[in-house]
Amino acid sequence: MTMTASVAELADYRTTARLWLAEHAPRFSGSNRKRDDFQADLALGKAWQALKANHGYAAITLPKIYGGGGASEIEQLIFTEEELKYDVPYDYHAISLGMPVPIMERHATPEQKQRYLPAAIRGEDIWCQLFSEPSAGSDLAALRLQAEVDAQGDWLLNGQKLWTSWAHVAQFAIVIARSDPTVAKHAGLTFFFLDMRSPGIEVRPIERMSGDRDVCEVFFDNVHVPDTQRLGKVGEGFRLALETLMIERYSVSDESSGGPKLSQLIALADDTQADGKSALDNAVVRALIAEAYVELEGLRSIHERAMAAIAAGEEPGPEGAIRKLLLANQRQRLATLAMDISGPCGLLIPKGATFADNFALSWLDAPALRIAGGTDEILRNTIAERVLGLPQDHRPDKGVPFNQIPNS
Amino acid sequence: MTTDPDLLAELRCTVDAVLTAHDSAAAHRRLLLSQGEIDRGLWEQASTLGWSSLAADESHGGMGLGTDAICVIAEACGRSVANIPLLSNATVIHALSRWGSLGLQADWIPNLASGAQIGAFGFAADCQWGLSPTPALILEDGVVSGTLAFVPYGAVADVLISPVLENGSLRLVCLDLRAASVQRSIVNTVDNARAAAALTFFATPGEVLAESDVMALLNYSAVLTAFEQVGGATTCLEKASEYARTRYVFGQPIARFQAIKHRLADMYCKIEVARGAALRALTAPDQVARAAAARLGGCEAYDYAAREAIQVHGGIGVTWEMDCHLHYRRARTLSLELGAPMWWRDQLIDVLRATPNCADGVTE
Repeated sequence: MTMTASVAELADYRTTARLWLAEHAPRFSGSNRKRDDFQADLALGKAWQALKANHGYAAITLPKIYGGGGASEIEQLIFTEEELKYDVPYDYHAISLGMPVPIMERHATPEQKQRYLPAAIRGEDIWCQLFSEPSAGSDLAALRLQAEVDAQGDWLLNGQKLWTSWAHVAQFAIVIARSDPTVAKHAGLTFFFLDMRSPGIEVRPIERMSGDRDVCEVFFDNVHVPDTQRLGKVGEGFRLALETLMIERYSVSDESSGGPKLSQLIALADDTQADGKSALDNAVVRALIAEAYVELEGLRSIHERAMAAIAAGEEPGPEGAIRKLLLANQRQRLATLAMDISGPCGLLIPKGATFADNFALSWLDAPALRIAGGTDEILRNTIAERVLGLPQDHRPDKGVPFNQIPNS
Repeated sequence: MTTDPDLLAELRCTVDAVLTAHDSAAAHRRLLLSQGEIDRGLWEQASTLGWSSLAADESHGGMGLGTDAICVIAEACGRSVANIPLLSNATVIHALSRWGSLGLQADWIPNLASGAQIGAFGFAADCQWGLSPTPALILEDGVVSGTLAFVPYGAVADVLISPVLENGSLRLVCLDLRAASVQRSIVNTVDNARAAAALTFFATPGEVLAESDVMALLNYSAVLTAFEQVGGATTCLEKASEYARTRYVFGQPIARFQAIKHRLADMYCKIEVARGAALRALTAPDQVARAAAARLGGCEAYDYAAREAIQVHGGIGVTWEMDCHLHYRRARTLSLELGAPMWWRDQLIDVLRATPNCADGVTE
């Protein structure tokens, strides 16, 4: 398929994908998921990835020579949109194939690509992204993981990463580290890839308040990384990190952010009695549901137009920032409302409940959504600065050597 | 019906050029002080350019373009706080074209399309926040009696479309406001440029639009208005952003403070939600949930943008010479003329209750 597939070609692509998913996805979703056995569910995820790879649905935008789909972004978006209609275990590989593997495809040597990409695309290897640190979240360039050159011209990494998704199941990683603390903070960073089984790496899963264990802290004690595993030039790390984050310039997401659908909340309100009336007759309940519906309608149109723009070969705008900001907040508001509607029983988490069907669980998971992948505040800054052209916040760290910034 | 995109782009250019050259804000200030009038100069220009005729069929001297063409003008009018009954005329033309008898169509549409006459759509009664199942006007033996407490453009309109009960069904009736049995009293409002009046009918002859659907007309008018609201809100955002970039306090532009820039980002989000909801409603005419979403999104975006733009401006924002209050007045007016947001929420929730899947994006 060419970069500018016609509307009819894309419609065909969607139909074919839909049929393919209808045939295969049910075996990997719903009651076939192994939610209480992590290793078994991970194995199911790997099998799903391998099956997709066999049919050109794994890493759709990457070249076929490595096992990718050899198509463009719009096909990837269409497939993901259809795939999200099923509850398949795609998330173990979502980051791996979303960012680290594509950045390898862009910057690694042909030999390295031949060696690493096929196994990653088939889902056998999972790649993680070692970016955030205890002191570097929204302010990524403030990171401190130390990279020092040794006598052979290779690198030794020391320090800590934090919030790394799936580090505990990853075989490989991309990593950004500080190679020169004496220059301005964005200028002193270098980008590498590494084997997660290297001596000196210790991974500790973090138990989130929701009970999930999908993020980790990763400690580095004199971890040796050959200079051949450097991507880009020394000091170019921040540019590569931004390029990595921009790969998914627009990503399809479930409009319920993994939580229950709005229709489920409406049904709950309709079925619940409050002072002899249905809760759906309560003005506050009505106002919150209406507000959510209006936002969803607006976002659906924004999404439709973004997809059309990408299909036409245009750059997507700030749609992703609006969508993420509004949906994460909406999910928390609706989960809270659903719990209120249920009264004391709103606190119950029945056995076997999931984020997608239980509002209390959804509520427990909701705060993380307003932080991960861009906090509310960073997203508002993005909109204010990039769309409205407003100036950056006061930035006392600008142009100051990293080791002279207070607290660095 | 979808209008050719090139034609829409051309229309947008013309409309923007006319409205930019015309000082609607100055006219608005003047009209606020003189109740019951509209911006006649701009209305004449708009009529000459055929803006009113967009909705009308070609057989009635119209252009026969899609609703999307009117929405382009609506948004531009919103941006410049234009003070003309364009959407009001479009709504009446729509009602007559869709449900009016051939006689009614011939009597009114050509003159409404040319801008020679003005049409009004109103239903407001005392102590009602939206459309009541028992309308204020009573139809009996072909004549209409009763009082509408507030009709936008009632002071200048020649013809009115309003709901009545006919054999237990809510229908639209068409009334000639030039009749001697109609008493108009101009009312003072927060936005006198809407030329609102209270209208009392003393056994005025009226013709019911057979099989007419009152809610469908409200939906139509709400979607057009949503585009006007998006336009107005966009101007508020632009003006407030510009002010925030240039106004310095504590040695820096106030736009550097997150308290300001985040409020402007929120304004942007509300406007884009409203625009999106309006576009979705435009592609699905007569879908109550879609139209209600456009309506609620438009009200929230414009009310919020107009209100917060004043706060971003600080003290200068509350002066008569600044345009902020023009939007503050217009935003509230547009939020209420077609019924309060609470009433629209009720219409929306009733649909969602009957068809919950609709909430997840499935068509009603």
